[in-house]
Amino acid sequence: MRCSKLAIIASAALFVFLMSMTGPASAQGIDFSGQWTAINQQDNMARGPGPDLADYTGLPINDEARAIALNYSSAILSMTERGCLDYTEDYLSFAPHNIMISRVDDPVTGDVLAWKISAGGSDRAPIPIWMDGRPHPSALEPHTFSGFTTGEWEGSMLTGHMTHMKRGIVRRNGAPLSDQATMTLHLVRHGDLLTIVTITSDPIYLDEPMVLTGSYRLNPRGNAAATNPTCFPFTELPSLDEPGTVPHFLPGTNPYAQTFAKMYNLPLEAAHGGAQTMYPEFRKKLKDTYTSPTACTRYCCGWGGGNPVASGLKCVQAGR
Amino acid sequence: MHHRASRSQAVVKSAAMIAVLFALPLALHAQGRGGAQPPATGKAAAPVDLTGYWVAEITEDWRWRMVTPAKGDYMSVPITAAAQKVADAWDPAKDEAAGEQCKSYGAPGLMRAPTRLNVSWLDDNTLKVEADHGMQTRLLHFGNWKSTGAAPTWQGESVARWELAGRGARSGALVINTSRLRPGYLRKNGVPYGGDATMTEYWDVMKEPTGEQRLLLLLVVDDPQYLQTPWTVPVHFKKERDGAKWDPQPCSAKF
Repeated sequence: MRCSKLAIIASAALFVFLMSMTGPASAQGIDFSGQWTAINQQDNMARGPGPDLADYTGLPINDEARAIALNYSSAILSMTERGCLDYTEDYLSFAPHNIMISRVDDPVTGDVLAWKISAGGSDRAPIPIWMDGRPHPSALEPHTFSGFTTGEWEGSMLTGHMTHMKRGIVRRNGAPLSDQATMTLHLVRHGDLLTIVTITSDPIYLDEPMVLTGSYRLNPRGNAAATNPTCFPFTELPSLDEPGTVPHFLPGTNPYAQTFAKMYNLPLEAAHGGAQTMYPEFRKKLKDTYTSPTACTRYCCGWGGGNPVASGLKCVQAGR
Repeated sequence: MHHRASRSQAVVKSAAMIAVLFALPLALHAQGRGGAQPPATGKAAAPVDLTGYWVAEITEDWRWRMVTPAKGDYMSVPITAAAQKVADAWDPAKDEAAGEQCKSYGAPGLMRAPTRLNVSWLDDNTLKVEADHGMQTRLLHFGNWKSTGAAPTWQGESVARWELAGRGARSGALVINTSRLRPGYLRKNGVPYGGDATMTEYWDVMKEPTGEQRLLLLLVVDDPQYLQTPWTVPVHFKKERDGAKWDPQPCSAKF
């Protein structure tokens, strides 16, 4: 009798103990798996049709990066060996694509081995974020289109640390990123909304870390593929038929270097970026020189989520 | 037989003692979090420290945030045809003459502006967010705060709560619901929001391996009058050591 009473007390105490443990334990992690539709309600033009040539606004690039960016001709993507130059790991930060995130489980233990961010159906390779404590490879290991990323939970935020990145770009108009770059990723979920923050550091081309954000909405009807054919090269220019052709502009000869600045009444110093252009105090340099253009003449509408024209808006788009 | 029974009694007794020893502090701690205790204030319950100076890093939508874009440039905002009509009639000189130069400094416009924020606790249940851009102040109310019913203002009325990363967790996000906004602009160039607009914000602190701290804000602006779908945009701020670069500037309708 006494024994069963004690057993009841013991069971009750154990129950309280175990229940108390479930709260903090559940704090570790959140489920990111599913189909996510890109919202694209900022930088819609840069993410969709593409940025203007020589628009480096808000990029913390240094002088060397700016010089390389001004040498860039997008026809370079027609070269077999450079066809994937624009589609490296950090393309995730400024691509318009929907994504799929999947959880990779250890088939034996059931532990989470990795969270894998799909390629988004175009060009970029999938990015696995390894959660099993594996070390980063040696600095001498090859750099791949997926990079190498290890992850950790910070509360319900998943933070990834990426190394072994390929030489790429930070904007789809040739602003460069070196293969010495590293990237921190933060995945933050609130209900059906996911935000992916990338903080990219590059000792070669960036004066300060570059922070970009993209938001997504959970979409049970999404169909982003887990993977896709990798970027493939294609020929666009007949001039490439000539052996040894490398599309580019020599220093000082880019005919589009000032087009964007002039179109939007911006001083070249602002249009060509640099870390100082990211901060509020830069507006002091603009205050006495900037006047807003009298009218919007191109790409005036556009947003993630539908066709603005079909919804009754009278839009000037792509110059029409 | 008797010997075996008393041994099993001793085992159960020991197990009970151990379990009680483990469970007691946790049960007491749980009581401290709720139970008979009064609910924790917003300040006491804060899982993260948001106080201090933060500077906006304008790396996205630069041309629409750092300077006043052209009239008729609505790129990225899911406006309605009614909103377009209002935006097409935008006249900054008229706004200034009418004393409405702060129309783009209401909460939905302000949080995307090139600004510094100074975040501090006004009292145990009110987080104060000051912006030097337009010299605006937002008050985020925790607890059972009730609207005073006063006229709508640029910053509206904001009710805040902590969203913990798990029960008892010491990390989490700030969630803010703002309403009773005086009609204003999402952008300097007159892209409007109406009096029924609401804004939900999620604030998360990101700690970098370099020691830097950033604040991620996800803004969701809903407006049945002028938006076809909620406008969902993330913005980010970097923590600064002090207020050395704090630079209060009054509202301007033109720049």
